[in-house]
Amino acid sequence: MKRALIDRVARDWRLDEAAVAVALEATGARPGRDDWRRFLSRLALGAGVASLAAAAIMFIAANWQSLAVVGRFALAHAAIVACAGVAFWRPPPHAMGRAALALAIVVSGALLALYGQAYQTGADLYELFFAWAGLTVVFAIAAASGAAWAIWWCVLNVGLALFAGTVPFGRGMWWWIDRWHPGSAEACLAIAAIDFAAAAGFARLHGTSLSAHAPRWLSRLLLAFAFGYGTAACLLALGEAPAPVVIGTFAVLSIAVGGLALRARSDVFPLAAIAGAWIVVTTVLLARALERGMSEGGIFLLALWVIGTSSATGFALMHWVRAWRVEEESGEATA
Amino acid sequence: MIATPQDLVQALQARGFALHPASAQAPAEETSERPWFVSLLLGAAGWAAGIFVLIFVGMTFARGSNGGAGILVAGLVLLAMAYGLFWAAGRAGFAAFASQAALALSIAGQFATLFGLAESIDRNLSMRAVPTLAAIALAMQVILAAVMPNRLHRTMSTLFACIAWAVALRFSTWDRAGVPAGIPASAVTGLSIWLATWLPLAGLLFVIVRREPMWIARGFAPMVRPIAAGLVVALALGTLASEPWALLVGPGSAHGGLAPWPLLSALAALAALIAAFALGNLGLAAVCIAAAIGHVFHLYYSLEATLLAKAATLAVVGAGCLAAAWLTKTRSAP
Repeated sequence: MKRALIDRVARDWRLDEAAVAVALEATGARPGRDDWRRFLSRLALGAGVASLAAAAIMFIAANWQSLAVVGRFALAHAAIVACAGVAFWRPPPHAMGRAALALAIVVSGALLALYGQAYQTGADLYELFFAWAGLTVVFAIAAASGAAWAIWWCVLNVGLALFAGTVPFGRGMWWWIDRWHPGSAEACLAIAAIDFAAAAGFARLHGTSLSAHAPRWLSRLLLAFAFGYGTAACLLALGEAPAPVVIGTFAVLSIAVGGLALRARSDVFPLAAIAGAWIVVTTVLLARALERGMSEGGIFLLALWVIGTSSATGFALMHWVRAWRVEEESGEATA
Repeated sequence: MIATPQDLVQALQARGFALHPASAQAPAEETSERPWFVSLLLGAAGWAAGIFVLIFVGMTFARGSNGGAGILVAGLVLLAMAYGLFWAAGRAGFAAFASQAALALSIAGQFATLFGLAESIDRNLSMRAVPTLAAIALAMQVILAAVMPNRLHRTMSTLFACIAWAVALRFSTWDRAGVPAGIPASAVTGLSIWLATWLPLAGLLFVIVRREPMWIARGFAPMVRPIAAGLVVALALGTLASEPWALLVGPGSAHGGLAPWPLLSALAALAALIAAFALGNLGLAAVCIAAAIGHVFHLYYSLEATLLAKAATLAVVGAGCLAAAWLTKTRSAP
């Protein structure tokens, strides 16, 4: 039970200290000995995997000349084989198997970097990230964990961002994109659309046999990426020719996300993300409109706009939080 | 496991506790838990609006000739208005507009009050005035954390009080002739001041966590819980205020011996993580984990060692952590 509910019961029923202590224990609000052990075990596992991943990246970055290229390749391959071995020994959903596969995703990137370093392939950086994502998707699927998918989506998002920033539109294999003359804003919007689709896809997995792949925080992370890129797209487009198309498309995507969230009635995070993104976009639009005659009045108007929109957002979000929580509790009670 | 308030009341009665319903019911907002991302959104918006209000007040006062005294008075008036709005919003349950307006007014009021005081202490705003101003900011934030009837405001005030405390101690003790600003006279001095700054705050958080049943039973939860959240965030992130400037702007190669400083911040973030877990606040726990990762990254960036040595160290640490995870998991297995 959440602490806020215990606080409310303690206040409404004037519980004394002994009763509150029993309430905290009986509701599982205070971690017991086993909870602490589980927490420390997970913390150590996460820290260990992160340290080993960082060690692998630093080792490749060190470009150690005392070790021949073959030796470096052998070490990187051995690390991946070791990860795969652990995953076979303790396969997911065991935590060790999941952690090993998450580590394998990172080490695969280090191996690709070593390949580029050793043979000077001349490949663009975004190609490295796309290859990294493409080759490791099997590890993410096998891991069946939110952490592995989060790492994989971070790799893909970095690749997409690099692609958007450096791709030679109109040249080579990208000739077909050039007919729309895309700029940074459209590229950001396209990345946002990919992240929106991914968030929706993972959200659809909740309650299915594949739900281990899609914890709620993963959908939230992808939505945060999507709204970040979408907001950046709108701000980049302001004052440019594609502004109506970019802002209009982002509005349509936001409405679709909002509609899905209101229909699902389970998580207000998408609605908060929509509100945050549009408060930023509209405030910048207003500031640009006032730019020429910016005076005390204009600044005051901006302050009022931010206060007004965030207040309305807070009011609406808390209304949904309470209503959906009541529905969830009554659903649990009925079950 | 008990999941609803009704079940909890029944379970307590079954265990022999005599429960008496309170006569007056407080508004729902003070006790209903606001998701972390809603608080983050409202806090960020409140800050942005506060800065706009501050610019508005500054532009208005720039036309007059009152200077620091005028801005000081304006700041105090803004703080009084913020208190009034928070109080009214609390009486009405959750008056969203009033709360947000009050947050913006308070932030603008705090800046204006500090600026007004700074002008009256030292018109040139030199570094010599920093400890005094930090001490004033500390006193102001402690009062605001205790007085302002709003959870988000209490958390923010506690965080800024901790940062002001760290800045006040650091700038009143670290300075010496010939040493760049913000660099301790010696590692021992720096470490002592660091411990004197953060150990009392960690101790306060420890007491809060240990005595949770007591302060809930006495009805202090609306005040202590947000203060605890502010202390957790301060231990996770605020320790940066105690690090030498050289580390905050770049690698420690220019100032040998400073590199291990972020390790202290990482340890503080871990302590904060334990407190967040004990208080059942997973959002704060995530902040602490992110902060600890950032501090460790900072540590390795600052270390004057080859990448190979860093890789080897990380590999050993990683293997040790995995062994610890394996041991704790094995011991907890039935």
